[in-house]
Amino acid sequence: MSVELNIRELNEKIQKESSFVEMINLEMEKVIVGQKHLVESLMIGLLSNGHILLEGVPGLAKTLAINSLAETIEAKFSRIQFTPDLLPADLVGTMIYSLKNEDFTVKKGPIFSNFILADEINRSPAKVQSALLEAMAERQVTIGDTSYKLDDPFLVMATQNPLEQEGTYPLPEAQVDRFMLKVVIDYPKKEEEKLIVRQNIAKVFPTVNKILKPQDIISAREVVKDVYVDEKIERYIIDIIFATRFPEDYGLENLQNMISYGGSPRASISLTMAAKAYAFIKRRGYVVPEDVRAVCHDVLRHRIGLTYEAEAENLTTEDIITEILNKVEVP
Amino acid sequence: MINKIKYSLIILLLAVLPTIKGQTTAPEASLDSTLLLIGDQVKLDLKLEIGRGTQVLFPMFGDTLIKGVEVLNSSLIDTVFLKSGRMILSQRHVITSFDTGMYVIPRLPVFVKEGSKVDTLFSNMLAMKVVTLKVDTAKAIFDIKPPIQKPLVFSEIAVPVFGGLIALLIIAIGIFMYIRYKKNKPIFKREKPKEPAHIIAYRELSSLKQEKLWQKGELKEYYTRLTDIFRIYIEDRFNVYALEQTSDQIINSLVNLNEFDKKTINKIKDLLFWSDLAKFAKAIPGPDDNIINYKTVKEFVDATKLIIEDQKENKTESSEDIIAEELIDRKEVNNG
Repeated sequence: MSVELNIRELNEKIQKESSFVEMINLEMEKVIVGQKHLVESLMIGLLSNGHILLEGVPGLAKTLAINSLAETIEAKFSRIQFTPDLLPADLVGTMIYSLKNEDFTVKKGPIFSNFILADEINRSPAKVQSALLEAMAERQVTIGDTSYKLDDPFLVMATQNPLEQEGTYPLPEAQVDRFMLKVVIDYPKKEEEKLIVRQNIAKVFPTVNKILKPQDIISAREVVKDVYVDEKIERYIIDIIFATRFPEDYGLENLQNMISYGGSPRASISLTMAAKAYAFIKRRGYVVPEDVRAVCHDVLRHRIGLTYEAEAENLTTEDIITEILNKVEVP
Repeated sequence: MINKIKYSLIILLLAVLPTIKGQTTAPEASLDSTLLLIGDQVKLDLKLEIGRGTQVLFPMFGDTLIKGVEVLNSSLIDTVFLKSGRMILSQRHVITSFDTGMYVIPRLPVFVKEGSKVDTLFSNMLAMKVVTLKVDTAKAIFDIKPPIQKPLVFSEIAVPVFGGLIALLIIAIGIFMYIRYKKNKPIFKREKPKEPAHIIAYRELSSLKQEKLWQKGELKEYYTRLTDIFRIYIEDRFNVYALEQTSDQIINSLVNLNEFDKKTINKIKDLLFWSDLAKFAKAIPGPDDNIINYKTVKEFVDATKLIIEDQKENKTESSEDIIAEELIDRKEVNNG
């Protein structure tokens, strides 16, 4: 048997380059019990240069997860608690007048880090959210007259607390679309919770080792870009996205009145990129339909609008995505 | 003497008083309007108060009351009992006239029988005036209006329409049955049963083989077709929605069926693995892999096909035949 050279070479390259994924996973497992999906999503975001919106109740190791990931790759980490009185300058930085030098000097904000945890992003007003989302898209911020490039890799993990909605500023659909993934995390299982308790009451809390440098992530990203996506897979991705827009064309007439808007072209791009990163994590040089399905819920759950009919029938975007995946033919 | 006469008269009056009380009064006729427009209708009521036990015969009219006055309908005789023990009988007639003029309705006779005595009582006379429309000669003369067209209601056409349809249907059935009878065919057709999954799979496999896709280097198309045949077969045969499932999901579905041994599952895993490589990773499996994967599908169909008793005799291409054909194929590849 023979395999075409470039794919074989790519596979070998990915086998070699992706070995750090296992190491990171092992390090993360030292401090995070369970939440494998969260760690996997962080890796996908990191490798495909995307940002993550996280939804989960407090106390599910969100901060610990992103902090530990930052530590394993020797990267800078900032945690910003979003509050109603937060100002854009608190985030990006500001010009401060120095009496000694009789001049304005730049005081950079916490956004100048590799990993940002924007905690409870919906607690701040729209102008602060916009400042963050603009930085996420442009990867640079402007203070005074000067633009400053943000560090690379730059990953934002924003959290939303699903319990308290009073006094919050929900992110508009256009801004939510800028997050590559929306990850929903739930409580750990019984066995996992037992381990968490044991780990936290022990005298020494485990720490992660530094195993990578930010530069390694940047070069790994280049390899992820090379992961082969066949035309059949591309068509499958397009079919899924189109099914969110025109469900009736895919035999899903029951969803026609349930979806107010479907996935944008950015959703198609994100789904492809995330599938590539997932294939890389699975140490493969090509994308298979399993990869697309594995990331589909995270990529699409915040990109589908529900109608009043859907809400009245307690239908969620999860249900819609599952139904679409069960209907769209796999190549 | 005068006193004697007075007493005699009082005694006579007392003697005849019960008779006076039981007597029937004259019937009373009345109209609800004495002036009517030509063609209009008025009600003529005839009432009579009688004592109990009295028999009465009201006048009976045909369609004409008097010349120029028509009777449209007459009600039944209504009886109202009074506290005094007497009763009032009444009858209503609806009358009309189509000629203008003054009409006098004569006294109407009512026959009364009290005991053995029969008497005829007459009602009062009535008069009514029939007038026509006033014509304004100052205005232009209009033509007579045509009859008002009312829209048809369903009940008016239901009987002829449904009757017609039923008649047409009966005629059509009759013609159909006659034609079938003439052609010596059964009147009712049996629905064609769906082709069994294995027949479709065998036909498609045979067609795939004849097309010699992998021999031509079209491996992606070859594996796409091969896996489609396999997925359609398991969807039809085991109700597993394989067309909408990925390779891993198909394997899981087959494992969950608990019908296959580990060896079969491993063979299917290999088939799907190579198919994914060929379809999504530009892989070029060797000729041996292509034949083995084809054989895996064929043997899976052979082992799991559902055969209905009467189909057993129409033996389809067996696994042995296919293996022999594959050996020939391999020989051809090696030679060429």
